Amino acid sequence: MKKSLLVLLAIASCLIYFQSIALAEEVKPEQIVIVCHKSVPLTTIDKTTVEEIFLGRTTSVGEKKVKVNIATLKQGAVHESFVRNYVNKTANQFKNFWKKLVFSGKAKMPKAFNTEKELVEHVAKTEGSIGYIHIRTSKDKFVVNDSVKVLCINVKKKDIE
Amino acid sequence: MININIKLTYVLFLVLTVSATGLAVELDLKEIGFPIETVDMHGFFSQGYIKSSDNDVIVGSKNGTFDLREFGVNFAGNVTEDIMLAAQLMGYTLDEQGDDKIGLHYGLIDWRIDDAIGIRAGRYRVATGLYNETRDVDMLRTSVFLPQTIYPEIYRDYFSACDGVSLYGTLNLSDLGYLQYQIGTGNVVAIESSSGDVGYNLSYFGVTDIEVDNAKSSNLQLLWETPLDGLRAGYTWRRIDAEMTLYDYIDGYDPLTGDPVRVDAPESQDNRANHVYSLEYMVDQLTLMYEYNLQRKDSIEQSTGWYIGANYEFNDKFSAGCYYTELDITDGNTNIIETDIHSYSIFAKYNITYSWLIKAQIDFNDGDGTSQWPAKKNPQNGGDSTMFSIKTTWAF
Repeated sequence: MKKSLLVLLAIASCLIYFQSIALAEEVKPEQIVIVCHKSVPLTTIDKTTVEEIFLGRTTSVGEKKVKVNIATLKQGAVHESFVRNYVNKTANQFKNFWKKLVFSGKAKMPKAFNTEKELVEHVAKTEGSIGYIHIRTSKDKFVVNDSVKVLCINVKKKDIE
Repeated sequence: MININIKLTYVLFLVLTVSATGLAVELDLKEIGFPIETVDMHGFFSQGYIKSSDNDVIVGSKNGTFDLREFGVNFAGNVTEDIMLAAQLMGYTLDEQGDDKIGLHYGLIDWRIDDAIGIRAGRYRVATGLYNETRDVDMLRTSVFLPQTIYPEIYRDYFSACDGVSLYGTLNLSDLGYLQYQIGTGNVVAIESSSGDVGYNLSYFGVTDIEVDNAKSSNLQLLWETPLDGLRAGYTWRRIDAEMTLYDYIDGYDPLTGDPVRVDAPESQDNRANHVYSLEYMVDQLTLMYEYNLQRKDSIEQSTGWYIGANYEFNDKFSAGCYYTELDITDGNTNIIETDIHSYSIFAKYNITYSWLIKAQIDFNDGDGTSQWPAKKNPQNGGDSTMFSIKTTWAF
């Protein structure tokens, strides 16, 4: 009896531990904006286009078919919210999706950055690059300036339910 | 086939040194005048242990073995916006297979003309089912082993790569989702095995030597990403035509003494086609999988295999899953004569860091297993057996 209780306690502790890892700052989908290089001929963007670009189904945009290359965050609440709400994947599923392409010789891994500042710096100097940041960061003049374009994502209500 | 004999320790040193950073490596080659500006480098190293209670279900598992290992490094760089060069060197050991010898896993030039059409030429991974192209890369799945009735380890090399040309693309079907296609043809690639130059290890089946010539491969894969988020359906057709000669193989057992009866077989055609139907549904952290494989040899139905499985990601660290799989021998008219293997598997994976993981799996197997289990090591095949496997992987 005592042994069974100990086993149950151990299992419960593990579950609580694993769930606690999952609890982190929550970022709502509407708090995320797209940031892209000025060469990207987009003035608006919708959820479908975002998903197509970040899953590599679309590699060029606009009438002139300008090539886009994506920039992502490595981890964190903004990254998790972005991939879950706009790409319909968990962070692990998104990482594995690209690794499957890379390790079968079908694609190069998207550039991944530790911070939003690094991501914005890369986007500013790289033609065709496109990434995502928190809307709060987009208003920080020390991070985002006229060298990049900031686009809000047009979302139908059903898309994020 | 390119094989470079490099001691495993050197490879380990390279992979572990680079992976210690936990980061992929980007080599800047512009300054030295190379036509590709930057080359991305990624790699992995896996080491496992397996032990089974009775039969040598997959490899030398009956006595327990650490001969379960994979390592590789790949490079990719763009020559132009649309043209990419990519290559991966890889080695593995699975009991007598692989022997840590490094081979060119893939090496290709990829010209993506448009999102709807591209062309790959060189050595490319052949799609069979949803997971064959990446089966050697352990970190991409929760389980240690893929279901053996669709992805048998003993045919691993024979079914994995091809020297030839492949067309691919993604078609936007608007409200109906997306259709990805791949169609290719070429020569079967055999990375080193104990049997010499053939990619699947018939020595397990009691063959002393085997000769395979003119092995041609053709393949088609259609993957439909349906309008229902997370649901995709696939169909793969793969045909291999080869001339095969078996030497000194076990044709049966003497009823009186029980000793194997060995004979040489004349050269024969080995013409086999696989039809794989796949379904995968990813909803939040849950992934459900179902695949069905029909194998025909010389246009006669030989066997059917299928599995159904689930995987749940509890958080970014821990995931677990299970599958049930079955292989049935048929009479040529879709009628099942006998169930050769059926097994239940449970598995779990824990990501220790961003680039280091550990996983474990338990398989409860039952059946004769004559079509896949190594006859040489299981002269009295059959019955229940339980296999435990544990594996750790570093990747960058």
